[in-house]
Amino acid sequence: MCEFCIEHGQGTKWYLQTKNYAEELLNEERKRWITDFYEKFEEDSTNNLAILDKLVPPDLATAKAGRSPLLEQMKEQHFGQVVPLEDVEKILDLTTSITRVPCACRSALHGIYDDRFCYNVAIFKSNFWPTGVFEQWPDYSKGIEILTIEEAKKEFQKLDRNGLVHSVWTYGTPFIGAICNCGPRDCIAFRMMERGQRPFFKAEYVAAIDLEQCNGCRDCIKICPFGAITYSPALQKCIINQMQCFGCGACRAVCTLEAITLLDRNAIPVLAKEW
Amino acid sequence: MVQIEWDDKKCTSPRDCHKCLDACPGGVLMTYPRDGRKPGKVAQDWAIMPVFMTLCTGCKICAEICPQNAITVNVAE
Repeated sequence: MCEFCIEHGQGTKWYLQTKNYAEELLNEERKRWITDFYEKFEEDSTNNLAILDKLVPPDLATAKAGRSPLLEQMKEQHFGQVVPLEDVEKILDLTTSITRVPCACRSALHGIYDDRFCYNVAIFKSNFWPTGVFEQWPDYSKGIEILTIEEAKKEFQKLDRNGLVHSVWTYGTPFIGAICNCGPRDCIAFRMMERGQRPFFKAEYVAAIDLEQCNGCRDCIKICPFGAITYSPALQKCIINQMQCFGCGACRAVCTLEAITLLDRNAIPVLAKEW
Repeated sequence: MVQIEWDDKKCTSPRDCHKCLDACPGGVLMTYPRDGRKPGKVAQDWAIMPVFMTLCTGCKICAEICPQNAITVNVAE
């Protein structure tokens, strides 16, 4: 179990606990923080990445060991976890509203402001996500869509087949407000990893290949966003480096032979410590 | 040592163009609104900022692709 499962999930998956989506958590402080977050997203992420870029030893070494003021702050405020499709669907089944908004990371990194990859999910009655936050920021509200659970599930299935990594994100931990769909070059969190900073946990799962089934086509290698799969010319099979696997399930989605499954990370002693 | 200079007088609409952001192999550049977001308004005055200079190889693709010649890449020996 990841740290958040222990702290916020009583030893079960924290992102399947409705209390972590509860409106009671959405106090004035959190509302203000969320509004600021969207107001200054590009500015703050640009500044933060520029700071990470300037880190020199020994600060860089400390940062790479997973300790930095920025990461500590993010753990309190805006932290994520990779969640495979089946668990995304479980979350969606719990929701009372699903709002799709333009991705702020793609805005900052690519100058693209109408790519809607962020799904704000609510398990409460008020319309905080569709209107409360975004109505004052037309950059986001122009592109907002409200989806039904069934529509959202269909979209996530498409995203899954395209190799996007789904992840839940807190807005003042442990309050979960969104499910993102990311690619390595399109996501601030992924880009932080290029300087050893990872503001999200791996999934509660890890991928495994049935070598009997694998025909060595390498489609999984092409799609893996974490570079965790290699090809063995000797075996003519694809091999997953499970220490490097984040359990997102992108490889599974593209494997036409259904040779890849996701295993429970917590059932594998060494991997159960890899977050 | 590589330095990237962005001329805001020549680059008038980075947000609509974003050719340099797309072309950079290292993903060195980012964009943000210099005056911030104002309530009820679409953010204006976007700037191009070199962020990941440790990933910059000095290849100058950003300078070559810029339709306004707004980017200068200086590579010091």
